[in-house]
Amino acid sequence: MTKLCETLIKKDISFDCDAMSVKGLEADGVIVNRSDVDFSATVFDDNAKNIVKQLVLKSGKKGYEVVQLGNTPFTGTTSTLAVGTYRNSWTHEIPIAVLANDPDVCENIIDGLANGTFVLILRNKAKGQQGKGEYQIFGFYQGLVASAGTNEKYSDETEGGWLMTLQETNSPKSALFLFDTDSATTQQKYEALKTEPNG
Amino acid sequence: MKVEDAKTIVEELRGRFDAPFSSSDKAHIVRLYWEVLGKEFKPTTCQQCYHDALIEVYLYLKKYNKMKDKCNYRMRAGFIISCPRFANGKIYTNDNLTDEVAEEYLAQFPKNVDMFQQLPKDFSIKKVQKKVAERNKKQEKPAKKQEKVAEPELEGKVSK
Repeated sequence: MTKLCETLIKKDISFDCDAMSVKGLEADGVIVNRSDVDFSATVFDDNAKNIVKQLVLKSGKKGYEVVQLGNTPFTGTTSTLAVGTYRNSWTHEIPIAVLANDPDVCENIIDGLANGTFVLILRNKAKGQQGKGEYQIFGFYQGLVASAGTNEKYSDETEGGWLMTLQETNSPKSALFLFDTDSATTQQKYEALKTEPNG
Repeated sequence: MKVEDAKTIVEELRGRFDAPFSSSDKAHIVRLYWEVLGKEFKPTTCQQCYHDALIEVYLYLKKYNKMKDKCNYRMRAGFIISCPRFANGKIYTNDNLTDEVAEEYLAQFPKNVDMFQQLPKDFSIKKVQKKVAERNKKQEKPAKKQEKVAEPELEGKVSK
């Protein structure tokens, strides 16, 4: 080890009256099989360690849209500190409701979610200054894996569908965001993740 | 699919516009959307999304009377062209990318060829750079000719 990592506070803890925090998430996101991410083509912002400017998938791969219904989509999403012996880390947890249960859904979604490793991009309702805080990336470092999954036949919430919970443990960063140049450019990059491989 | 075939299917579907579309009608609209507009149709939870897609296809055919040119280049998922040094920073995604734009971009930034998952069969950077250079030359020539024609008029006006 040649140097100490810088883990200092670099700003006042105060409120930005022009960009107050707003709770919650938008109803849609993009989920990607983590093995499809081209990490060698990922570009971090030179001036902001928690911002990814470019997130590109491998050739022939695509991201899949996740849409949640209700007034509190992805309800139960949390990021919590995990105290370690030498270094602390973060645990990110995201529940996803799949309001269906048929052979197609079970084969193509539930069984995949149960055994795969994923990266998920969700849209915060709090956009932050210039929209820098809108697109939050989960699972970039360790990958999101299923930590729970239930299909309760008489559930009033899932109405016989599935509730899957994805979890990333030991993430070194509290949050990672996708942002490049401005909101419009970032939105196009987010949409482009869903590009069909064969046009 | 030819433009006449597309128009015939659109007219048929317009006849059933006021009622909910059947699953076979929806399949036709998805195909039309791809064939005419070159874009993948993404159904939403909105009940009118197939009707909206049909209107989009109808208006495109009415305005241009042709199918959209298919692009031989396709960028990888997550990548877009948004470079301040290219086309004044205009954003290009797979939806508005054309062969011409892709060629100009790759001629200028050949290293980014890795960001494309689909290229023409006979593609090579050298060929593209040559093609773009020739195209730019051709575009410059008429511009110069126009300048030459305009010059005497200007001189004439000045002499008056």
